[in-house]
Amino acid sequence: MTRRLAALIPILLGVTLLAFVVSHALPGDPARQYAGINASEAQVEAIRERLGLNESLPVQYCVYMIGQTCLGEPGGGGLIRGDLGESIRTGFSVAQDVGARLPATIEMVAAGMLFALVVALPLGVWAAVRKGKLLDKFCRFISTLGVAVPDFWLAMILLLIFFIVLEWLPGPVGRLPIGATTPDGPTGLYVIDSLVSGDWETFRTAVKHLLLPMVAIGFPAVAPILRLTRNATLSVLNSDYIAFGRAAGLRGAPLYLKYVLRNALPGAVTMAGLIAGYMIGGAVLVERVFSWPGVGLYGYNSLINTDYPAIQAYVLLSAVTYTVVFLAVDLVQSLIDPRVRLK
Amino acid sequence: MNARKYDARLIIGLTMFGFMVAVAVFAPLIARNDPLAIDLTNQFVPPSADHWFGTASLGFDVFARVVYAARHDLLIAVSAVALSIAIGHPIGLLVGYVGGWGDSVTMRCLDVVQAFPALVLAIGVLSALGQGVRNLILVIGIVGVPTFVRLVRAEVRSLREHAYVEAGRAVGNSRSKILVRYIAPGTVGTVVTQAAVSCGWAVLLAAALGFIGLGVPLPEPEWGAMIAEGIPEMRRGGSWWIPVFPGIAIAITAFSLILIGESVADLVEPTRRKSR
Repeated sequence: MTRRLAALIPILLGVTLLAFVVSHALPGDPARQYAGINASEAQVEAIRERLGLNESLPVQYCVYMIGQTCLGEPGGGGLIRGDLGESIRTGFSVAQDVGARLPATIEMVAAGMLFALVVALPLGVWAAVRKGKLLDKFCRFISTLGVAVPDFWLAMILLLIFFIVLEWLPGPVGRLPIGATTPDGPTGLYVIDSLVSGDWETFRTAVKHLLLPMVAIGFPAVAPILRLTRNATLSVLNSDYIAFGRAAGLRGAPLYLKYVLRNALPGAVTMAGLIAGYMIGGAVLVERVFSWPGVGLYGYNSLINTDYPAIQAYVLLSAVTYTVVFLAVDLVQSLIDPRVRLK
Repeated sequence: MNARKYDARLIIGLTMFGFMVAVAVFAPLIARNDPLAIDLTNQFVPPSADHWFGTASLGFDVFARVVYAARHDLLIAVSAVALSIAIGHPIGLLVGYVGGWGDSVTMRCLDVVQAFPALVLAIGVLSALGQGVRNLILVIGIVGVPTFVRLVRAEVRSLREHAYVEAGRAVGNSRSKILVRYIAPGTVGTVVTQAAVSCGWAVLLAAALGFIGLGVPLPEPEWGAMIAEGIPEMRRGGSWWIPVFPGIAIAITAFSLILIGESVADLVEPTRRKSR
């Protein structure tokens, strides 16, 4: 456990180093990006000075990490204090901006993952049981297709069907209708917060707005989880203890749910966790389609406004989340599966 | 299980991919309209005999643009994967065979690169480098390098323990000759297999980057960017033909490449079939 956490440190350091290289050392001129297209040469030079881009690269990295202390000046700042710089576009600190948008992304990703698991786990077990039959082949087709269909395109197709043609679900306006009061609550997840405060009207609306993004972000995750569950189930089905269970008269749902699925689960959980970690940053495309005010949309808006510090923070945070989730998944797996011992 | 089924998947994949390649190569013969022609009197026209896939803003012919975009998207994907292999294959061979601290350092570096979701890393780098086909190939190619390094490294580590490599060493071949003559040929199969799947991913990544405006600069046609053009239309009643057709093109291309990769993997690695 401690060793696992310790192994995280060099990776996170490396991640900051790479994020730093991307933001400071690539051929593009950050100061010019920062200043905008209409800036004069003198303005660009002033920004270059202010950002410390005239220092040597190692010094720049030091400042990036631990702030002005590095130059022997007062002022603090730096990544280590959670300072990701100031957004040019919004004027707030980037850390604050991202923090405010994180719940929206988490809500969407959690819902999407729930959708993927609810679809993929039973289908995976079922496909394994009916191995080689039509259902199995259909599942395999779906899982290859699921990888090949871009999530942002699926999002638009869903909107075309359920919003424009059928008019069952709301359009791409974000988490709630424009002008609606947002539910207060500790989690920032509208569905949970409105449920906790007993506000049924808001709950229903929030769920309606969440449905399409949930399917769009969750569908690509169905394929790998389905595949993994199927293959894990197949090997479990051939094991001695299942043969024993059958001999002892177990059949149907109790056998499959309690004995088969449980043993096939760890792999699927790992996969689900990794995908969820990936989605936090990768949700940018689906968030863009639905105007979902999450971290990804923030990254996108920063991008089109060349809001340099914000883009870099978005990139860094996505990587850090991914890495941390990676570790969390390992820990959870050892809880579900006692055979997995953390080294 | 009989072997014919796998051939069927391979044939379907190759046919679909061949179709897309043909579309890209013969684009001027297939599309009657100019993909860059502006026709302000015919904006947002639904599919018709004149415009098979309808028209987008500025009167762009969607069919012509989908067809010509195949050139950009396939070129980017194939070049990017070629770049990934050109960098990743030699590194994988070397660190897999030599091992030691060079191996450890390389693997830790890959851990770091792979800690970034591919799309996000590509966004970060492209936002610094700027748009353009060359940068797009460069970024997608580099993002794909770790996959090939890991794959080849694992293959080399298993191959170097084989008896025939031992024999090669016994008759006095130099280390470099063993790597090049004895081990490297054994890694080609897995690399080719992965190349097809990676190409599929590269198409999707290129389209995703195009979708958020970091792809091929407008007005050049690119599938991802074309889908993005459909977003503002969503609120105005949805000109469904603008996003639908480019998306189908992406799905066909990626689907065929992944199908090819998977069926070839089953052929190369017969043990995989058992679990099918």
